[in-house]
Amino acid sequence: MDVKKVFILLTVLVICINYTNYFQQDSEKLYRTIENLKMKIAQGKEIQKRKIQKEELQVGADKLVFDGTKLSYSEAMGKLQDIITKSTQKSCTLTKIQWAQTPSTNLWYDRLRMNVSLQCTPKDLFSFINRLKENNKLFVINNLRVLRMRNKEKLYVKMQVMAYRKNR
Amino acid sequence: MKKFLLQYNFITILPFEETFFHALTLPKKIKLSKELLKINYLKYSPRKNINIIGHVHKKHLMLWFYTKNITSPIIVPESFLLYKELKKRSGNALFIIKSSVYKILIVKDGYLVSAFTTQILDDEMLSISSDEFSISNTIHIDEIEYKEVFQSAFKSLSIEEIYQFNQFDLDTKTIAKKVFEYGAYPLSFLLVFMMLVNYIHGSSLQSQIERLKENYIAQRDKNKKISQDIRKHNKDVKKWQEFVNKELLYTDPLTVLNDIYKIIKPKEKATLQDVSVNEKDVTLKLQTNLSPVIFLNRLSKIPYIQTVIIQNSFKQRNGNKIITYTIALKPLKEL
Repeated sequence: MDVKKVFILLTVLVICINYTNYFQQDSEKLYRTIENLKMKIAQGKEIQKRKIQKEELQVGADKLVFDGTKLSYSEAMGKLQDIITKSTQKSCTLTKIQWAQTPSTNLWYDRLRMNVSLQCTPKDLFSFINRLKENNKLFVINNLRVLRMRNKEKLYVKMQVMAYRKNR
Repeated sequence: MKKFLLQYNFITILPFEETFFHALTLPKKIKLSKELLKINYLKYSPRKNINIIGHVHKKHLMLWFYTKNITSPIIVPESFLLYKELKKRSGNALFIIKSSVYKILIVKDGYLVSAFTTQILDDEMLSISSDEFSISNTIHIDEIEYKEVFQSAFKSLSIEEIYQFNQFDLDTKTIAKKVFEYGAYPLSFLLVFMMLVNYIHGSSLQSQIERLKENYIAQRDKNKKISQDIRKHNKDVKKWQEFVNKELLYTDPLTVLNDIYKIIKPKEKATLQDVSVNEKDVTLKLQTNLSPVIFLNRLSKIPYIQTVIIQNSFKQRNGNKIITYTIALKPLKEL
């Protein structure tokens, strides 16, 4: 057997094995990278094509809550009380309004809770709610209790009105 | 492929009438080379200067002697083909095939034990043959069927059988040596070529990635502002979705109150005395002289109400009943 031929073949084999084990690039991985880049470029092109206006990207929900940069918690509560009081005018009799306990949360917003007692007709109750909503803020009603008053055509309504204040 | 081999003379079918057949039983299954066959079994031939083909199936050795000089590397006896096909079709029997001559095959216990030709069909000879091998079943095959049997047998000839009938002995050591001798340079070249192709392919992919990366970075810089806005928008949307999921769990109590008022029809004598809505729990006191079930059914039809229970019902002095309903609301995300 020709030793020279054997030597050449073995040398090539050793080079081939080492190349495969240490230097050969993973073509699957390269193809995946190419696909990812192509996808990202296509997304970028789509963004450019759509010409998205800044206004489109504004959620606009911030105005539904009190602005924490302008109003402290107490100021916001005061504002809420003011809104509730004004909303009851010409509709319900506000018999009691009480601030609920100051909350402590780790959330990006504070809950502003106000316990309210009213006397009104069913129609006036909804007038009150409608006037409350005219303020373009989010009000959530909790713990609602409506009782029919004795000897009167009115309702006694207890509720907790909750608004929100952005704190960060 | 077999047709191709036959066409280009790689396979020769040795005619039935040109062979002398002899069968033997070996003590154990062995591999017989051409030389071994000649040394051990040429003595069974009726003539001198003759060629031999052997085929071992289990311990059964089939020998075909022939005089013709054939250069094909593979020689398959016709009687073998006929035996394989006829055994598959009819099992053990004495087969009489009518063609230019009468071809007689005797298959016993699944093996070909005798094969010969005769010009004249002699009943006495057949009787002796069948008695010798204790075969009672005799099958006559006409010329048309014979052709069909032959075609079918050739088609079903396996690669392994073709290999067994090859006429050259392969010395694996010599072959390996030869392959190594002649294959070292081509193999080396092939490996180097493959590495080179692989390297070029990898480099081209790499350069494509570089090009795409440049494009992507340029585009990213161009879209930086809008991308930031989109990210902020997505963040805001997520934030508000979480807010809604946390704060607005159940239907608004005023909507609940409004819908509860609607369960009393205008002319019905019923009054809501007390309604309380606390997150998902609603308690309702109704004064009426009607059946409590009427209002229960109406309440059940409100889509966001999960369950309605009549907690109690008692009669007042004026004849009216006070019915207390307990209602559970469905979470908003289930609606």
